[in-house]
Amino acid sequence: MDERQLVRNCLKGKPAAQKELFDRFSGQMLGVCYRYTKSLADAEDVLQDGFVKVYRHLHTYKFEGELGAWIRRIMVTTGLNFLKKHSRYRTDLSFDTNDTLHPVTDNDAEVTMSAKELAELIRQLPTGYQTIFNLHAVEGYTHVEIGEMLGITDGTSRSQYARARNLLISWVEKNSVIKNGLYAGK
Amino acid sequence: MRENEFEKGVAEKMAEFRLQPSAPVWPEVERRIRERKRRRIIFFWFTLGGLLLCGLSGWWWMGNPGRSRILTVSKNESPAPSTATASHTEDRPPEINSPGKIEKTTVAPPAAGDENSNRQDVISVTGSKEQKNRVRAGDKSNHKNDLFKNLSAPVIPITVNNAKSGEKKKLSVSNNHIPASALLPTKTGEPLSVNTLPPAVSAGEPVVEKKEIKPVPAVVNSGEPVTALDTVSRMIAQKEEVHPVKKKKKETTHKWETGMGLAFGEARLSNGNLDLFSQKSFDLYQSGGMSNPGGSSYISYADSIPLKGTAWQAGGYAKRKLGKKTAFSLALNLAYYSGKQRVGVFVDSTRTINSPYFTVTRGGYYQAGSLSRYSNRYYYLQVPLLFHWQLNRGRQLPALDWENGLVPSVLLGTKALVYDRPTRIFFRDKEVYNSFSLAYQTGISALLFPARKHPLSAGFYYNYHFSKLQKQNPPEFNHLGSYGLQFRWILKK
Repeated sequence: MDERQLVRNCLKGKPAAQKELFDRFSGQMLGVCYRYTKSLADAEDVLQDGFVKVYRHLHTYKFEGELGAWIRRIMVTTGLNFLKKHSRYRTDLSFDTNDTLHPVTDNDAEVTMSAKELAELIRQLPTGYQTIFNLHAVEGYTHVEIGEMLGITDGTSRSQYARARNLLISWVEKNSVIKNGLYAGK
Repeated sequence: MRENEFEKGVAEKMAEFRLQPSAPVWPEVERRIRERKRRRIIFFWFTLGGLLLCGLSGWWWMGNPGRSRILTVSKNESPAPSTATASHTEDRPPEINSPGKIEKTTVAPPAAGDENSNRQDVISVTGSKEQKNRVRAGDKSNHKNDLFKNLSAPVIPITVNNAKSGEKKKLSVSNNHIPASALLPTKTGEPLSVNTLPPAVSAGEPVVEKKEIKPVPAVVNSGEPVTALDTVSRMIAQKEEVHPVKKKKKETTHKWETGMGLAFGEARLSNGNLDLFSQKSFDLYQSGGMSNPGGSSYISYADSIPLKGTAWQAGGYAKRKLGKKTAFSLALNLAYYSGKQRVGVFVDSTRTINSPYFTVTRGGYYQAGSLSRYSNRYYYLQVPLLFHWQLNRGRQLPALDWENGLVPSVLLGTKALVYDRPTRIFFRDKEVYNSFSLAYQTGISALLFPARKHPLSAGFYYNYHFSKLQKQNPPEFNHLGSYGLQFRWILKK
């Protein structure tokens, strides 16, 4: 079943189509949610909320662009809302607006580790860094867009991103992957 | 725009990064989709039902026979004059003899055997000359309506003995419009007879029949002659009989009503969307460990289960009438809420729990699991401040009382477990709960046995705590609420 037909069937409320849509995109979207949160349980919560929104707003999808990209944007937005809503993230999501601008370094660190290991490293970052890094480096949002999304200035976004990037590069270089106790050890 | 190879490498790696969600995720998503549909359907039917109810209520209210009872005039062909009966809204003031009013009159029958003994309804007019002329000219179009307005004085049927022939005559006399000649005592003090009655009466002068509040026993001194003086004194006595009753009623109506209340039902924890009635599959979300295909085990949703249990409230209340159909009440209640939680084994050893939100040391704790059920209990002291609105008149159906208001509550005590996700344990800690809570309460109840000394009202209630139950490390389902049956015994009214 192609995407167009799948969406139409979902809009008709067919359970089989809804399940197929979930099966088709849930793995990729859980990966997205996983990078924004600190635990798999939270990532699954975001995934649930996100898919509920997907089904609720599927009628607004106009088949312009890939369906996966549209769902991904919903997941990212849901993830950001989740971070703002939950106090355990909210305290860690503060952005220091007085930061001086950190220039982006030009070192071309080679990412040789696996995707899972890299995702784990990204999740080790403080929530603010983690969020901005994900939005800019992975999703491709500009700093102006990130500033609008998070309610900060684009300068703050740039500086936070630079810090996150430097930190992550140093970890990659050291290849210090921490696999367990991600959240409890904070 | 990505600056260099590092960003490109990260983006590529992350694009291929996938994780398999655990089994309960899809059922939960599916349930939430279906629930939304179900809510829409419920909302539709509730709205439709509400509109129908409003429509029926309006129809009933507009067409309620109790509001404007129809005047019925019975024409009796028997020699004895029939009494025209009319009723009206009791609180309407009498407007007899006001200028320009039309009055219904009935011609009293002449002596028996008279060919013209049939009753005739005539219209007597008091007021300006112009108004009289208009009525006499045959403008009868509004007669009925005017009759409804003006027939408000009680009718006093009397019996007159003809002293000579021994014949008894029944007459109806209004205390508001009596032929003046009928009220004059005879000079000689002789018994009043048909022949000695003033010509107006004996010749069939119209005797006004007005509305009848309560039929009065028809015969006065049936065996004895009646004097005009007796008639007057009877009428005065009757007036005195009617009015004190009304005064008595006013005296016995208190604005304050006190009583006791009891409510019981089901308590639920909700996620703040006022969806107290949502039902999650309890078995699906056990707090036991699960493992995903990736191999790492985790605990999921142990604090996101909408726990349910029993609830009750008991206390006293005072209610004050604000208007005819509105009232305000203040109560003092002890409230109990509970919710059953699935837990694992109890570990009887000291443990310090360090979390980003608190650090506590507990002598014992429960591990996550589904070995047994633990009942979380919360005790509140509540002061419900409710506004009451009576939905109907309460004559044919029991009076329906709709209440709405706020319930400030203080947490007196709790015996509930707190779940700590990182350590996967349940422990007791009262400090994590908000001591003050504000709830919204609504309900509808019907007044039963209103004639009794201590009437009972019974109905349904629903309350929802705006305030969060747990202030630290708040779980997803963090708003208490309950619904069920409520009863109130009125002790003093």
